[in-house]
Amino acid sequence: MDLRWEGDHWVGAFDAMASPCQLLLDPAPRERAEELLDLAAREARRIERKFSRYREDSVVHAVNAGAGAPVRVDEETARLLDFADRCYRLSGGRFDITSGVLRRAWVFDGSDRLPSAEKVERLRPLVGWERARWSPPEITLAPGMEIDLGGIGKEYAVDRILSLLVERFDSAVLVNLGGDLRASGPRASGAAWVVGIEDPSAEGVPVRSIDLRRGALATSGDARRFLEKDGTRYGHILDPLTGWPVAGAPRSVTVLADMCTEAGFLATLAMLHGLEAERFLETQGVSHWCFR
Amino acid sequence: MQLTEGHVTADRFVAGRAAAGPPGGERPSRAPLRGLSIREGLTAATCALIGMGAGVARAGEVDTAVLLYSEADRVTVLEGVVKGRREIGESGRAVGFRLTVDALTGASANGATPADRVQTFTSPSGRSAYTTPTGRTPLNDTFSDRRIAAGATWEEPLGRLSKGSLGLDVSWERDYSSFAASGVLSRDLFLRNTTLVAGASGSWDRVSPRGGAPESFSWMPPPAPGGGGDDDKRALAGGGTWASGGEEVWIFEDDDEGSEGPAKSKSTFDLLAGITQVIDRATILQVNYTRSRSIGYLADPYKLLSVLPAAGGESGTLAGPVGYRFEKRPDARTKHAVLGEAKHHFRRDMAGVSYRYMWDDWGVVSHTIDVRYLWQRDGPGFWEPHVRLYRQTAADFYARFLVDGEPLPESASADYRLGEMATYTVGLKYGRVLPSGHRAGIRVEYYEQRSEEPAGDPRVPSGSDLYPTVRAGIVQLDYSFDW
Repeated sequence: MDLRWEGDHWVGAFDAMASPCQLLLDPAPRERAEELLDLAAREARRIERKFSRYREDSVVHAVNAGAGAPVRVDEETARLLDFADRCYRLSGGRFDITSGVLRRAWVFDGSDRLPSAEKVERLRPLVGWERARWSPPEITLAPGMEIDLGGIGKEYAVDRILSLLVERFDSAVLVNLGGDLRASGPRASGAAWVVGIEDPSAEGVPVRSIDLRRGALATSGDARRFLEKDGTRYGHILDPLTGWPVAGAPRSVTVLADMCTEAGFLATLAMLHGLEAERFLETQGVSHWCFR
Repeated sequence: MQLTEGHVTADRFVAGRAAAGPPGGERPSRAPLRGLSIREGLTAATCALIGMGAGVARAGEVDTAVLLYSEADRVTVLEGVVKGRREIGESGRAVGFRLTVDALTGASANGATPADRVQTFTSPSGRSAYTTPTGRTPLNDTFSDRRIAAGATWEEPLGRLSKGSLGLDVSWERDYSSFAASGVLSRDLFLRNTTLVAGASGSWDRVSPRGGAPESFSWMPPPAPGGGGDDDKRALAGGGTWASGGEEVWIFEDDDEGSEGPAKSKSTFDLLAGITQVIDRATILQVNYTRSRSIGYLADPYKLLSVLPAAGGESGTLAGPVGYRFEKRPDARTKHAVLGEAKHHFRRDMAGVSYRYMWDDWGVVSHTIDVRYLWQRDGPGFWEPHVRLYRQTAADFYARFLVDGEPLPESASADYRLGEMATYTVGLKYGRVLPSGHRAGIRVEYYEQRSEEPAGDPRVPSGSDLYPTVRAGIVQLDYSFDW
């Protein structure tokens, strides 16, 4: 963890969820800023530990290891599953936390190695939230099925950390976990936090700067994860209904909303709309930035 | 690289890129685009996800407060409260405690009417006495009481959406003790946008005033020898006097258990049903109904009624009361109350309004309106103005006095709390978060209570105030921190 004073605000940095994370704070005593930074980092790591599918002691691992038997989950996990369930319904099945198994077939390494159609077909029966039985507080997955909360975990962590911080700190706060971020409100000086949106194909090059006083930004898309064969580019957003990458998806979508979970879901859902991503976002009435 | 932006703040969206050509590959039929409904549905879902913080970081909180309530020339109450709640692990289980200590000093209207002579009043035993000057509202200033109350609650999740809680409360005063137990069940529905609550509680109270509780409508005993004179008042206020074979023995009340004579008891059973509804992400509506049934000794052992001579008597107008009777109330009371409360969060501020309607089988009907607005300043502080309006009708048996020679009614009380009245409270609170993260606040309020003054009664001295206005000031300091 690292905390430094930047003229008129604190900047705290830590690593969590395999991303560089930041905490921006309006003026406060240094001990206070350290305390808040510590709290933010601890909460981020708690959520990471609890919901990472890579860790054997995580809740997600326990659910995935259920092998057809019901697994009882705690309150917080249940709320996330309720939320995922809601997202699944709202998106007409496009947003599906069981679609992660398709990664066994798809490896987006920039090469031209597409999986065989049979391989994808064999995995498709394992995809589909409607095949999971979510009967709170118990979830039952068919053998071979898996859930992955990676699509909402980071955004959830941003919202959680922000709400923890504003309970303790009345001045302005911005929480940034690897580009998904949220600001609590106007700064004492009246100024906004300035947030840059990067060109996804040229990392570190901001092409837009946004004055953010309150609200959340979340981005979906990763320009480095794709396959390309016979002139067709396959982005890494997989359509759970086909098992194949969404055709015509933007390289990245950034959405501004009140909460980070909301922004993240809308950004992902826009990607899943492929060529119609922009039109979808317009109908949602949210500020957005789409790169193609 | 091409960037397309859309902004809700602009008059029109920056033109989005239209779909270029047919989408590649075969796609299964999809649900149609659902427009804004996605966002609307999402709002409730994200609130449910983030709103109910089951955090590890904030496991508990302790609130402390000191309250000073002071009526002009009357009662002053100093009260300290410490309460806390703490979650046990992440299971949703929680324990809570509450400790209250208060000290009451000063005088309270005893129910008798003003008279054109000095009036002397005694306790049920006749042991302690106090006097009231001519033309003044009789006030019992022998009050000096301390109360200690303690309570504990246990909250237990029952499944993922339901919660049960059990509470126990006890309180002690020199002449009053109470024990109460309660249980509440709550259940969340519809993505936690709706919460239903049902509860029941019972309390068992025991009144044991100095010298025993008086018999209903019994005459106030004459002062014991040596008691009642103005000169003795000060001493008597703090203690009592006991005549024994011509000698006077002074006994201070603190040494007197006050348990001689008959103690009385009452039981109260309450039922509660309520619903809390999240209207939108910023608005919460709550409606509660409570039914409360009390049986047993419901009178106040310190309240009297003046018995005035019948009007038209030769010397009736100025003779003053022929005596005083202790009050009598029905031995059962059923109260109903409906409380509606709405809270709305603005971008930073918060407004709350509540209305309570209460009615009972004693004929008391009351309305309470309470409005507050939390104004969040830039920086760590907030201001909260508060207004409360209250109005009640009198109990059927409320009587300002009894008339000599007339048959006694079934029940009668001159306790101003059962009379017609209107009160208002205005106040302002300032609170802030300290650099330590602890929260501190100060609240200052003014309270006034008025009763409609009926036409002057010839049996009480003209110019005396039968329904005096009560004014009070309230100052409260509070301090909270995480536990």
